[in-house]
Amino acid sequence: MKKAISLLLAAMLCLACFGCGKTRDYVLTEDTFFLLMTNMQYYPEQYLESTLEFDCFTYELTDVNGKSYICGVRKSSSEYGCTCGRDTIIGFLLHSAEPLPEPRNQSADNGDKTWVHLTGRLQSAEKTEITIHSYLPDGSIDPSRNEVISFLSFEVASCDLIEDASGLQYYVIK
Amino acid sequence: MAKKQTAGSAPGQSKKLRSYTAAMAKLKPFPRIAFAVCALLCLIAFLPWLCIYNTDIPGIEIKVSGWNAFFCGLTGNLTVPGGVFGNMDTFNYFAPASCKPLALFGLLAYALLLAVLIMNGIMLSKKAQVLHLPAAILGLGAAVFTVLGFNAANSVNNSNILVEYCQSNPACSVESYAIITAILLIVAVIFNVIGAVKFFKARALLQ
Repeated sequence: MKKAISLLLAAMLCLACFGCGKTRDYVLTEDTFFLLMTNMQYYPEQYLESTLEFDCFTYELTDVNGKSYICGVRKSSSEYGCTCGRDTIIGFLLHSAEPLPEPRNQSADNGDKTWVHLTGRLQSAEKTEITIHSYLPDGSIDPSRNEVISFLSFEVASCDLIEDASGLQYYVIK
Repeated sequence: MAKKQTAGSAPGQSKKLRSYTAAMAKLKPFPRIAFAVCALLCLIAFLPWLCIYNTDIPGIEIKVSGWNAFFCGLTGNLTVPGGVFGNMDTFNYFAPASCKPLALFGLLAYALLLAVLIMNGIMLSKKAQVLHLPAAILGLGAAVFTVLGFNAANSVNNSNILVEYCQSNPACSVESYAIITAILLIVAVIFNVIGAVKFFKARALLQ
């Protein structure tokens, strides 16, 4: 019994040390993409020292003033979890010294996009708010209504084009 | 004279001892049942202490299990990414005022539950029935902290999680099943209390 209690205490101690938050790097897989990405949106400061690696497709957002932003995203439900709301995109604004692959087939609601494998870091915990025209359910733009979306900025260290994205989820869920 | 007394008291002492042994033998099932209930509680700790139901996906959308609350309380970190244990990070983002006490009460409740489990385990293996009373007291403490955790979980309803996370979807609801844990803990406590009473009665037989 003493041995069992000692083991239990040792396990608790290990868990406590594990949870103390040593800086680590993250590779987002198909299983962890949604959970880690939502966690980054909630608590970006705990990822500032980490190198992040993930697959996404490039997407060009144009705000109401005509300014364009290149993002690395996947599609998900709005508010990053509740599937009762509208669909949105989840990811980062991309900043790179090198030109990034052009988005393609952007208006189509399918996974036939420009997929890339990115490595890099969050630039800061600050979010950039972008005001865009609302999308209608059929995918067209409603210029009479605006909405604001927030993105974290990601400093791209390396970007590799993915030729075969068949194993990657276009729409991510928990 | 001394010889007479010994001769007269030996059968009485022997009878007392037999009664005591018989009474102690009757105590055996109590730690066994209490241990089984506590072990069951460790298993059902994977059930949600806090969860959100939604309309268009079956079952629970996100949850905080008992173990999730326990480990978050233990590490003091409520912002780790969600996993098999639960999504404390998401709840904490929308309702930190409720999640901090939830993690604290989860830690206290399960720490006491584990202590009760170990005590009942010792009673089973070492026949140390004297532990019934401390096990009952700790079990009662665990039940109280579980009820407090249940209250903390329900207080999430007062946050803006239904407005922001659920986007005011009327079918979206916050639920807690921590009360099941509290009820089962009371069951374990009852067996330990009965065990304690019977143990003290049995000991009184020796006097």
